[in-house]
Amino acid sequence: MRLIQGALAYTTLSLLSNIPMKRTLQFGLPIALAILAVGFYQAMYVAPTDAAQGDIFRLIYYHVPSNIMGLIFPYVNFVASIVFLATRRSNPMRAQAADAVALASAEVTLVFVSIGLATGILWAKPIWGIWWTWDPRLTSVLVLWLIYVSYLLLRRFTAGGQTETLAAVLSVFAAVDVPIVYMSIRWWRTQHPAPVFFGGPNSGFDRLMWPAMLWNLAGWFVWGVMLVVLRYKLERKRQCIEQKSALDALEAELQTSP
Amino acid sequence: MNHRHLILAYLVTWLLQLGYLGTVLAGWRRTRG
Repeated sequence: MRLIQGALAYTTLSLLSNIPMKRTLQFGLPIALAILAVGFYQAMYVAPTDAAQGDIFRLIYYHVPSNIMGLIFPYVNFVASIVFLATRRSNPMRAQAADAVALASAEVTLVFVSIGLATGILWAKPIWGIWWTWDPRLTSVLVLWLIYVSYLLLRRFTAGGQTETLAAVLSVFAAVDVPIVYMSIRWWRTQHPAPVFFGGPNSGFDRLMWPAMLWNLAGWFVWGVMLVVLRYKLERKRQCIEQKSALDALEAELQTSP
Repeated sequence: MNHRHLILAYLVTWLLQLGYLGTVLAGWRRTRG
């Protein structure tokens, strides 16, 4: 199921790649901001105050969507990395496009996971009385965050032709961690609250809280896809400039050599 | 206490998201220049 979702996202991105960057921003930004504005209004003024936690509960309308996006985009990264590994010798042009998708989705994942961790920490202090605990959910999310930090550091600071291949292999570890993050609050019932989605008969929300959650989920999804498409286009442009300067250098070398 | 953390969480979310969007757009501007 996750693989299908990732493949769908990859196909969508491939189709969107023909749209100019300016057009992506002109369409994507107003749509995302409009949905997020409705989501904000629902979260602040329409959703009822939680009886046990009070207003701090409203933080969940940003915390849960950010974490869900932090579990979807790693699979875009994973599928793109697999496509890169499979085609890097047979079809280098496709491999480069897949690598650009992998990089874009890795960066967007890191943004969402960082927000998920930060908002979780800000919720934990008033509710649990502590900023952090080594609960399985918190620990597995931290591992995911560290994997993507390593992924981006690897890409930024290593030289040589194997960087993209090593990064693609690292993304497989992230794809292994994602189901552990998802299942951690189902396998081990410790400090973290029970799941909101697909958590069994006693899970979920009051029905008046659902619109706030769903509007924010939709808004952050559109926002995330927009960011991935924009970053993908930027990376493709960088690849083109790099190739052009390499070709220019080769041409100059050929002209000067006797 | 409650409200301060709630406002901070929403601020952190928007700062990170808009900050990232800003770096992407700045990169785009650089490639055009």
